[in-house]
Amino acid sequence: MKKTNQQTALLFAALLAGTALFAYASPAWIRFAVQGALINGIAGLGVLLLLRAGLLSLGQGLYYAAGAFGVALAGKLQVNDVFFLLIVGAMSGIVTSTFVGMAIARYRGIFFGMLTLAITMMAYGVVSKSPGLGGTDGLNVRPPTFLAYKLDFDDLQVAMFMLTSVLAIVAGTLVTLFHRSTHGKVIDAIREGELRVEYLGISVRASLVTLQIAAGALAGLAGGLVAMTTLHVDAEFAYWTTSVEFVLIVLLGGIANAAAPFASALLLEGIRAAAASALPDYWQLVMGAMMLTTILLVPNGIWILLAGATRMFRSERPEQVSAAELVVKHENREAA
Amino acid sequence: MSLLITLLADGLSYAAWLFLVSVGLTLVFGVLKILNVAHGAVYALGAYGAAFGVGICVERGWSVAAQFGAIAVAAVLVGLTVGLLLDRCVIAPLHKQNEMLILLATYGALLVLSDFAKLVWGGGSLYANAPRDALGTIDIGGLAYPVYDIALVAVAGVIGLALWAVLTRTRTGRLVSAVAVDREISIAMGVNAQRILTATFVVGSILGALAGALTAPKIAVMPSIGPSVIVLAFAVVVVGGLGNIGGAALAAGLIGLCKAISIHLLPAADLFVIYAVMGIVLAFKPYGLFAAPQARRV
Repeated sequence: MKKTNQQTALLFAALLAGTALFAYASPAWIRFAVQGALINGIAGLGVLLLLRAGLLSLGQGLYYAAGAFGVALAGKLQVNDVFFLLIVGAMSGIVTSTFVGMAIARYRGIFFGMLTLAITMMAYGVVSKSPGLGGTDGLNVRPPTFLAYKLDFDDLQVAMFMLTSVLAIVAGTLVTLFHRSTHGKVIDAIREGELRVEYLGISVRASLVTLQIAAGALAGLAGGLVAMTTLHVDAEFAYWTTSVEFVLIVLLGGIANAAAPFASALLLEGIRAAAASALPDYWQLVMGAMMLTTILLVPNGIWILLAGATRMFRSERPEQVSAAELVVKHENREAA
Repeated sequence: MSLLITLLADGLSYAAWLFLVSVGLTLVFGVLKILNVAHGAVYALGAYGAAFGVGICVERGWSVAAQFGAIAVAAVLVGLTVGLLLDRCVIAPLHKQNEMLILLATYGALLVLSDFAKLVWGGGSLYANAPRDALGTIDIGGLAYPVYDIALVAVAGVIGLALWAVLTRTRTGRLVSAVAVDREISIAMGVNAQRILTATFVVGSILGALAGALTAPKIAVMPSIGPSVIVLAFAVVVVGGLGNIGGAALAAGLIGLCKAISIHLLPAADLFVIYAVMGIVLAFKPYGLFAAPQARRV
């Protein structure tokens, strides 16, 4: 069944209404955990984009840290408006990822992963040793204002949650539209065989650098959001475990759908909260066991399970098209 | 002159440790084509096993030889048990899956095993410095240097040479190489590839556990040592060329020397010098120092 524009608008309106209701009705710690998951999901979208091109990035934490530190430093320059700071966060990610993306555009496979890891670890070392960036203690961030309105702490937290939710929906939608676009199809083709794509006259290098910049923008945005919510940033943002967490979110969710990173980030946050309250000293054991179980039982990601569940409740079956029918359709289109 | 000798001694000692930590990882990658993140947990469990064994020996007043025996037994027992467990429960069920998924599964195993060590031995630090202290120190360039650390250089050399000899001079080694080069053809020629893959994974795990066990007398053994060591091991393996044992040795030497130079002459760069070396090497040799050329897939 194809969604009409009216249905899509209704879905967005329902999502926003649900988010607003949740923001005011839920306890602060649950809201904070969900917001953390949404922020990780936004950063994870960048990893998902790169993974669709066959590139495993272990350096998404660098752009995340760039966004967070960009916001913290802008605050020191008396820049306080939340929307302006969001642009600063995204731009910090974009500038960093442009340099990194151009420098490592020729690397593939595990070498791409290791180089991104090396660059983020070098950044971690530099930030840890830089007094101007707070060293290992980090920097405090000034509470942001909303279009010159200064909110008290509780209202600021609710407002940041709402803003994060809206941005998560917008980012997820943009990534979905990108996947459906011609450029999105090119990315999938690069994963399958980049030499063939080059033979078609498309620049693989330019496509991959663009993807890196998009990944940087998403992670920078996420870093900016986390800086304005927790009001503190530190070098750990660039540490390799932060990047691995984003990869984990994407691989657990699968790369088929832009909603998958959000679903897996929420699941991970739930498991972490449950494990931390039941076994505070051994939450990694529970997390690791859940990860292993998921990978062994659902190797294509939990999104497959969710998609299967939603199909069960649909009255109409999706249109089934055979390969032969596709060829005929294509030939008819060519003839026309 | 004494600074140069100190740099060389420190660099060589650190390089030997890096080689011990990474040789099992590169062996497993060379044959199974997987990056085993759980190698860090095997290293940590080896260190815990050795600290536990040495602790018992010291408590009962047994000799230094018995303490070294405990280190070796702990390494083999931990490597064998955890290696087989990982191979049967994680690696074998996923052998047809994407390598990234296997990498993620081994990361899950790392989390489980790291907390398992905490569950058994607690969250505090364990110390097993008795064998290192018993060997005393030696004067190198006016600096008292632990004999144990120098001995580790020799142990790393022996392990490297033994692996090279087994892989290139024995029938078993040739079978391992055959499976590494082309698994399907090896099976068609009657080689039991699954047995070779399992054996290689277990040997890689024993080497990881041995690295941990030999490191235990030098450090405070605690749950966080596994995750922190695996990234260093990855850096060495990638710089040397994935799956290349000679490359890992050279990479360990290069990184060890750079680390020693940064500690003594540029302490501010100490935290990231390893990654800087990796970045520089990969900028000029994109697939590592000794990687075989790769054809582009059409």
